[in-house]
Amino acid sequence: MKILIIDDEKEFAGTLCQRLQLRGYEVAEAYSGAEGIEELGRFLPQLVLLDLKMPDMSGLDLLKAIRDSWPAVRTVMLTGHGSGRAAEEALRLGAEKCLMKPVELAELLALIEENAEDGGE
Amino acid sequence: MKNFISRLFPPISGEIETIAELERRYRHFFRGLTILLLALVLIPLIFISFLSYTQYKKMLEEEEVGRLLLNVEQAENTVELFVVKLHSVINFAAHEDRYQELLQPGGLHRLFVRLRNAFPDFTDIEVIGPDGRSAAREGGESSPAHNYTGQPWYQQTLRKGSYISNIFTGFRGAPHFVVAVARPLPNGGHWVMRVNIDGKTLQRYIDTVGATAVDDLFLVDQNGILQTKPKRYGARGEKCIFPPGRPLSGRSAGEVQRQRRAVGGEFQIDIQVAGGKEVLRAARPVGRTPWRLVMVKEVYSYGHKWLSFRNRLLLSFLCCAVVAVLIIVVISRAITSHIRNSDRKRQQFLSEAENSNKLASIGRLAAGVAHEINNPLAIINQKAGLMADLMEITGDFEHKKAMAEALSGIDNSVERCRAITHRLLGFARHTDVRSEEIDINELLQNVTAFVEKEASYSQVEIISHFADGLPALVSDQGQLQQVFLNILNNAVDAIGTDGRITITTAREDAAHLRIEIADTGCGMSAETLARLFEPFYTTKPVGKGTGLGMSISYGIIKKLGGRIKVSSTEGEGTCFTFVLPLKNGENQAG
Repeated sequence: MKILIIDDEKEFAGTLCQRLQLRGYEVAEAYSGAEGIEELGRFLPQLVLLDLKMPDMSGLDLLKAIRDSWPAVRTVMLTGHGSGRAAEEALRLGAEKCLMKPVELAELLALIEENAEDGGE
Repeated sequence: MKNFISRLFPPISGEIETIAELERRYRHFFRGLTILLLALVLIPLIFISFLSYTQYKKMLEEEEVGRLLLNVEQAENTVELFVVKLHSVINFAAHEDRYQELLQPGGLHRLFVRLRNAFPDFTDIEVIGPDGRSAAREGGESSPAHNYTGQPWYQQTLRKGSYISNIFTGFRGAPHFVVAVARPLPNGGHWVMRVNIDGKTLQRYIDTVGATAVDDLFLVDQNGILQTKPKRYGARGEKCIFPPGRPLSGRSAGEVQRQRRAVGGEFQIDIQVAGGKEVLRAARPVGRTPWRLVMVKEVYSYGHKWLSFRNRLLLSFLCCAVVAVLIIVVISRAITSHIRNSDRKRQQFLSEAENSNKLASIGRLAAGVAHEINNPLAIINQKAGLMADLMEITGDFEHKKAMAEALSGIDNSVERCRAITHRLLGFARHTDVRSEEIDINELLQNVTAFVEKEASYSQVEIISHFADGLPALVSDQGQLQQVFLNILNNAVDAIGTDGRITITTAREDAAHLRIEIADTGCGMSAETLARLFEPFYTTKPVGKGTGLGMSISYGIIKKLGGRIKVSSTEGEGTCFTFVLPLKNGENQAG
């Protein structure tokens, strides 16, 4: 299972990446919208963990780009914001789920497994 | 004027002033308004009263002058008539061919006796021959035969045929006056009959005439010497004390003119001040005599007429003034309290607006802080998680257990922080309000079920007074549940043990429902009440409450277009009143 983490918080992305790798997932990370798109083309992940807010591009815009260019890729949104409207918009644009930071790893893993099963079918 | 009015009314300012300052302003306004209204009412009242006072006074004065003139006229006629009578008697006595007869011994005596029968005041009688010497004399004391040729009265008698003297005391020491007539003799020349008459006659006459409604009546000669004794203005023989007085004014003067024309006589009338009183003085010459008749009358001597008018005027003025003052004070007070009330409402509205504005900005601030904290919190969470992961795959080492415990402590703290930030964000979140039809009684029953168990442990009784047939509420069920649950939990906490919670539903008006939740708990202090809806304000011990429950409830009710009212008495309990629109008011609330 290949997972791409796109988040401008390097420490967060790095640590989460490490923890997922420890659990045997193949994980890559990107720190901006542009990097994320580049990595999507190179790494070809099955699942993207996407931050809603980044300096160069909003998570929603990136979500649209993913939906258009890589329709098979599933996306889970991560947000530090309580904005329910953005979350609803993300779900409408095809995100699987919207999780609020700080995220419990157990919750995230359950979600990943669920998608892996779906993807596997 | 504009300046005056603007000074009168308290300036309108948006600032919330101290209560003492406001009260001072209202008092100032009340005073100003009262004075203005009093002036508006009392000045015309005083003016009209003054006008009727002077008009009536003038009218009375005119009437008085008219009456006085009439009296003078009558008195003059009477005196003149008396003098004419004396004249005609003496004229008759001094019949032309009587001269010789009177000179006979006893002739004059017989005449004198006859005359004295009719006029006892004739003191003596004298016949003067054509040579100017006394020819015969009767009555009085005999005196040497005078030669009267050089005397002015004798010459005047000869010239005019008759003469009346002033009253004089003469050498006999008794006041008297003289009437003399001249008669021609057949052989040329004139003889004169001279009669002395006692002054008392005239005095009696004047007293009789003067007994009518006048204060004083007397005679003076050309030089102003008193001829009869006045009642109070001097003694006979003295100079009359009246100086030229103030002439009458206006219509009274016109009245005098009219009278003067009507009787054709010569009048003199003026106002004098005598003995501190104003008196009217009228004078008129008495026909065929050298005398003037003077009549004095106190001004307004018709006392009771004037007095009763003045009393009535004063009474009606006072009545009007008292009624006006009362009404004006009542009106001013009503206006002032009306302004005070609307000011109070305005202040209340302002402070409410200020409060909700404050709450909104605190909410936004809290949301911003929560968001900023969430990111580092996520990093702490992940780092601690990674450390736990790594420790799991590493073998035993010294302090491994202690470190694992420390990590789980970090985890717990992160969890607590997360709960807080999530609630904060929930408070500020503009989630769309879901609208569904709700039976408010059912909703409250469901919520009550949550707390009933805990309440029963603490002997708290929950009583419901639900109104039947309430219309369905279109609102957000979940959020309403959250609000009522929060209030009920707080109520149970406030009671501690043994108490009562009363839930009442009712219809507020056509478009609103009212829900009251009252408890018999510890109540709130004024300070707590004032800060009740502020986020993070809590009276619970640290770690027990976040201080967000009430502010979130407030936010929800506002969002649903409702109102919350709280009344609380320390030690007695608290009552929350919710008023909710039947159709949720998201649109009105904005």
